[in-house]
Amino acid sequence: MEVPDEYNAKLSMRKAVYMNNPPVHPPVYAIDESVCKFHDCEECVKACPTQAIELDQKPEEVTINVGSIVVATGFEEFDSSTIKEYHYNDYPDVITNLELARMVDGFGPTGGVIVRPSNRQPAKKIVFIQCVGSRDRRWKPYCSSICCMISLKHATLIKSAYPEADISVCYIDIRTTGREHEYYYEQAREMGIKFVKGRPTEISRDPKTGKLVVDTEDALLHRLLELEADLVVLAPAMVPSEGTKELAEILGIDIDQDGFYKEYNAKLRPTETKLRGIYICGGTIFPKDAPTTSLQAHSAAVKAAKFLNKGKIIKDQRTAVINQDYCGDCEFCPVTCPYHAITLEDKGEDHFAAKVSDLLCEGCGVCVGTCPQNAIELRHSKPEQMTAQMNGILSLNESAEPLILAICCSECGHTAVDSSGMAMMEYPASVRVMKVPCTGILQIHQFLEAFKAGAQGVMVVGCKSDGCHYEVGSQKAEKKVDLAKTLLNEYGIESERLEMFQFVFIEGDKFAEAAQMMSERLKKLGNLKLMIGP
Amino acid sequence: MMSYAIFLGCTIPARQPNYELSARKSLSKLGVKLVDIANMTCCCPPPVQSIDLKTSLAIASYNICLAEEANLDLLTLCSGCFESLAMANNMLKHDQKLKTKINKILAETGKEFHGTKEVKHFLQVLKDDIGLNQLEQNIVKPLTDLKIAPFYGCHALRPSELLQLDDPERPQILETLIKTLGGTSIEYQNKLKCCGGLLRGVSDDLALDLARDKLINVSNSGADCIATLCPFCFVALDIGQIQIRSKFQEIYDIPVLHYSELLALALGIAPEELAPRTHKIRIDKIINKIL
Amino acid sequence: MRAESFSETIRERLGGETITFCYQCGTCASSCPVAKRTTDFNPREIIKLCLLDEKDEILDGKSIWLCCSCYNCQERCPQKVEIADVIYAVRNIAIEKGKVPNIYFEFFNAISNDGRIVKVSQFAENKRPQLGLPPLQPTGVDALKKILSTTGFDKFHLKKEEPQ
Repeated sequence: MEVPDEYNAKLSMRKAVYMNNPPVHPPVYAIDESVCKFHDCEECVKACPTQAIELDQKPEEVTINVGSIVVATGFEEFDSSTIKEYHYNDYPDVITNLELARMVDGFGPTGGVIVRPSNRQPAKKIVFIQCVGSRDRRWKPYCSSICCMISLKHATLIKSAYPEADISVCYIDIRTTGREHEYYYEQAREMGIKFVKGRPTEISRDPKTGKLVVDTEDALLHRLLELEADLVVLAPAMVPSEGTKELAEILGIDIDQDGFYKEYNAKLRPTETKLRGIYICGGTIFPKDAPTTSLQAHSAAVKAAKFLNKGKIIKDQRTAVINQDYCGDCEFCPVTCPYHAITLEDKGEDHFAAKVSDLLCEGCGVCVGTCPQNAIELRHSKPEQMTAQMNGILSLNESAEPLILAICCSECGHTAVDSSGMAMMEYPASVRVMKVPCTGILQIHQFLEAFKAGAQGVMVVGCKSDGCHYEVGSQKAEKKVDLAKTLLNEYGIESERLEMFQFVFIEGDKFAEAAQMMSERLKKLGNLKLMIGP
Repeated sequence: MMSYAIFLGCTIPARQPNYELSARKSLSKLGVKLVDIANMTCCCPPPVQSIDLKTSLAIASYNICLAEEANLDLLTLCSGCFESLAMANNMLKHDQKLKTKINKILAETGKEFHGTKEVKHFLQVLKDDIGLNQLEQNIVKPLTDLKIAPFYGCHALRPSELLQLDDPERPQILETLIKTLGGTSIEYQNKLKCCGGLLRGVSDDLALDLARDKLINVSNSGADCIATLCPFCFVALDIGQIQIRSKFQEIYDIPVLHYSELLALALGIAPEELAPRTHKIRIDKIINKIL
Repeated sequence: MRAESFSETIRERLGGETITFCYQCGTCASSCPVAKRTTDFNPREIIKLCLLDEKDEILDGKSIWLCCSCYNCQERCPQKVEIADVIYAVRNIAIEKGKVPNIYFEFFNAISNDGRIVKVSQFAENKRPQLGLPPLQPTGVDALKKILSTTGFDKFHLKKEEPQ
């Protein structure tokens, strides 16, 4: 049985029993079950000298216990047929860069000759179209970053082998940002490759000659062009490989707005995920060239090795504890936990109780702030510890300014306060800073407690809501502050006395400004009159 | 019985009784009741939108309000009306802020836009509401051997995000409906390109150039006639041929029929009931082929 | 307060909101049937000139009036710039400044007098029963006039007197 070989862009045939390309290790043959005739044929079974073929083999699921996982599932080409005006599936002479790569290969199906797939005749006029699906708000809004270089590479390779080839590249912007990349572009121009600044609106085909026409503008010439072509090569967007989303769900790691895996921190922990022991690298994070992919692969491998070699995991004791007496039957905390550290345990008779994995818990306390039963505490940040701390720092005010409690998260919030101090910025001495793991831990009654303890105003200072170190904490705090404001109004307390602020850690100036603003505001409001309490 | 409020617009009652007659008679034969609502106004197509977009949206919405009051979906024949009204309907349905803004203007007329009704193109009513089966069963004079070049024009399809009639790059609805009548739908170059209809009066030379391109492509395809949806396309291609004859000394002699006319003929309605003399390019040879 | 630039004025208007998405790829130009026929009209250039605040060139020129409203550009724009709507927004500004091609006065007069942009002649109306068509319903001119005066559209005809 023979079928067109997908690896060779269907320009050659392969057998139903075939060796995977590019070669896999160990090099073994595979059987394509969609075409194999199995027991109706059995030719391969008879031919194999070592009797290695068993036609009755069935797919099986294998469980492997591992200590660490590196996800390197890569990217793939966007389906160019989505852009209907380019007729990728309708016209055989419209191909993609990946398909062209097989023709450029001297050992490939055409022996390095660039042909029109429709008739196998050499292609003399070749037009490349960049940004097919990339930089397109309708499909993939991002720049796929490597397609300019792929097209430049192919164009120069073809032009050096066939100097008479007429090659044009239609582009929106040529992006050559890597080391030595611009030299490729220079070389391409020197070789006589034509560059047309314009994204073509469509490819049409003359029904009689079969010639393709690329309809574009050259924006620099201010002229509309109809470029004739034997072969049109599309540079499709690079998209996450199939199954990326499903795997992310299984592993419990995040994907970004474009569907790629999200790293823990793009600058400082670029190959780590939010889960310890799971690492990512290469095109699975974003399309990238081979050198950068290799660099990330090294990084992920070293991270995984370091993680495994330690033989132990060092964890902060600051983790959540469930009080089993109060916990009952709701599902808020397992859904809220950004680290999937909370599971529900069956207690029989339709009762469930939450259980925290100390290993997975990162100690943010978002579950504490979420639990409607007050059944969760965070070690070292228990409610009574927080109340005691609050009472302590609010017990004395020797300045004339109104006393303000600034509840800051341990990440951006507290660091912003530090930044303002280090830059010698001034804010009223009556601002008392209290550090909590994440603003997500806060509960509404704690704001009221602060006022009871003597605060004239309360500032909640967290990370930017899309930059929270614990993902959802700052957003949750924002909502709670909004809700608390409504409650304060009910109690006859001016809701302006409570405010949420979200900073990046370097924004010390903004913190100082905010503190000053709050102080002025509270002075205008005058002394807080509490109806409750002693 | 299916009922719709019919939105006639301006060009159809002013100049194209052939469109209105064929549509009314066909729909009545297919068991659809059309209700003529009083106090409709201009739909405010692109030329009016060019004067003021906000006013145009308000006027378009006012007309939709009338349909809402009658508790009927609005059926349009003219693609220009379809575009203006469906766009207004969908924009206001999906943009609360805009809706409030427009309702403030509409309050002066005692109306309020709710967004409870649909604006439907004639083709949608045929294909989705009446259904192809029902259509097929009523055909007495199938258009066998008739090669028809479908022409969508612009405003039935685009902007597709708001109109949602069909795939703007590969529309099929008109082709399907032609085949349902027993006719052959012919492919031709640049099928989806504009006929220049809206440039008439602004730049007649340009308008004629675009119409001529269309006629050249259709005539190369060997089609017997063109099926149109829009009165502006009809004018551009029908009267356009007379103008092209005097300007370029070229004779195409391609009959231009609204899809509704082909439908009426296939349903067995007598040609003389359909104001056939509205056509500047005579359609006798098409009628003869069908009868 | 800083004076609003021309591109900002357009962006603030109904229809003009998406103008800043444009990255000048030229898909609109090659999609445009009018640009294919004349160098007087190029949607990409119109947007560029607007973004560069070349207000006079845009408003005094004739190019913005040549769009044939086919929406091909808008359909294929990879940045979802609502190009036709942007052009309408610019036309709206031009009209406010009194720069109006004559045919728009015809549209305006027809709308405000008859409620339709194309007048239905008495002849056509009389012929309807003979053709087998139901009588035409009256148009809602009164309601329409109320809308026109609410939006200020009825002051449009005054524009003609302004020097061009």
